[in-house]
Amino acid sequence: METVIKIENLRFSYPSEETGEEVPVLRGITMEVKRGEFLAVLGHNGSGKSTLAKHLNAILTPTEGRVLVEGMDTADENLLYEIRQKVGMVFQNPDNQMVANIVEEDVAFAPENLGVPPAEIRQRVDEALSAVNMVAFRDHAPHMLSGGQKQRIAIAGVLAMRPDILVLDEPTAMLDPAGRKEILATIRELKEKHGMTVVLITHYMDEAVLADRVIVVDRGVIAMEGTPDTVFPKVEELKRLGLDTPQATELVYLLNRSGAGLPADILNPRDCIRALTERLTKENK
Amino acid sequence: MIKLEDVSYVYMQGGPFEKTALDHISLEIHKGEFIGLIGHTGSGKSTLIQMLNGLLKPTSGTITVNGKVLGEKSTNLQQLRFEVGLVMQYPEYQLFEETVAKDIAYGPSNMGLPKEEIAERVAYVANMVGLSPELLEKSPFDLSGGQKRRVAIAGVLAMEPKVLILDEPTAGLDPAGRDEILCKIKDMHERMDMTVILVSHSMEDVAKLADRILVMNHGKVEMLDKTAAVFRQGKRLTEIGLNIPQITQVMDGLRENGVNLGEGIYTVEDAYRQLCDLMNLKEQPIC
Repeated sequence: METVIKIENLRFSYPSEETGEEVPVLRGITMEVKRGEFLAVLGHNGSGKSTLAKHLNAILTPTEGRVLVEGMDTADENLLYEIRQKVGMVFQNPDNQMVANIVEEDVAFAPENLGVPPAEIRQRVDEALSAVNMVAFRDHAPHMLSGGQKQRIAIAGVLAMRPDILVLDEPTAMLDPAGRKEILATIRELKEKHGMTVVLITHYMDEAVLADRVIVVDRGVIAMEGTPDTVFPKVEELKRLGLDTPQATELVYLLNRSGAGLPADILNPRDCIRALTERLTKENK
Repeated sequence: MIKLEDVSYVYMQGGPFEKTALDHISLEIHKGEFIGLIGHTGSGKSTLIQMLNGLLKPTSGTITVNGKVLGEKSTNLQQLRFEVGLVMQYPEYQLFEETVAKDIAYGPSNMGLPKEEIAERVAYVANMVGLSPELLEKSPFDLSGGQKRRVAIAGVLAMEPKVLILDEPTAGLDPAGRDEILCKIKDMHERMDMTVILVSHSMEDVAKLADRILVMNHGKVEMLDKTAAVFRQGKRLTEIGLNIPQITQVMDGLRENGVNLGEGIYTVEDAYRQLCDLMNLKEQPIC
């Protein structure tokens, strides 16, 4: 598959306010994002995962190394607009991302600023609202919506720029369980129906298990990488990195440590129930 | 300690957007209990906790806290708020002082305590929530998110409330930060002899700490029972839109498949122990 983002030995540091010394945040990251992929970037607070995300659309630029978005170097200021149009960002707090008093005006904000002709803005807004299933709320006031709905409007606002890649930096951290479900369903639909490339920054394991691939960032370097069913069974390693594993995976891990001999790549209750039922009924026969 | 008798609360009563948030609620919470309060958004849990320290007055019914009837003229609301400490959601946004120490001291200063006592309390609660002494003279705005939240909690603890209410204290924290805060809350509950009400969306968090769980649904009390008894009703919890812990789902599923397991299992440790017994495996210590 085609590579849409290529990161080569990315290092990033900033001078400390107190001492003036350089504080390293990212210490040599090399990775790629493929077109159409759903990639989850995991890491505890302070691991550098949000700093990494901000490099994907040139909010930050590398101290050393390179970030290429569809071949465009993010350090080249002349390419700034083009890069930001390709890579749309959604942040944690939906309230900080609303600019207008009416939902569809909010979604139209970006294309208006890009100088898109009015007829096309209309079309883009309709498409974006329909992609996040919020058409029915087009003339509502954003502040009257639920957290999950607001965040979907924020996603629509980004989609209206017609980006190739959607980067979401902990988009569900401030939402209730219902809101989190809405956002995850939206992300999956964007990937599956619209072929969107998605980079999801999160510390929720139950979100990361839905991704095609997981990268775990720790102290500014990539600590683990792979498909969810290869990363999550490594329960102890994840705990050491300050992260969780799904409870079903942890249970299987503990049982296997006692010699149960169950398949280790179990990520959800359904598979866990199936494997354990099989094992327990065999034993009774 | 806390007693609600037939309490209702209606927002914008008589107006076009009238909404009943609490619908004839009666319940009792005992001294020293650790209560987990869960319910989806709009279930009335926030309304309930705002009533317990007098931020809202019931539309009808009586609330008694520590022998004082809320809403009666003789009840001093300020005194009540010293006794019922409320840590709101994202409390770090409410920090405002120049230094961490001054911020924590704000509550006890308003209580009119002598200087020495305030200093003593600040040092004690800072230690309690795990803030090192050198942080006390820093600006709260220079701290990390997790540290700020601990400063905010310390500020409420410094008033030495008899009841501590925490609204989603782990929201937005990563797993390590979440475990740390929950561990401190458990510690405080044990060492400071407080009644604690923990509001959370996370069944996993509540399961680890609470003696009893209060489940709210559409402004009514759906359940108020021992933690294990509440998790025995997994089906009902799912019906009202709550997420039961993954481990409870696994154990319920196995039981449905005819595996002989106890009901109401809500921690990975318990599940592991029961399954080891069934499978004749040797239990290993869980670290």
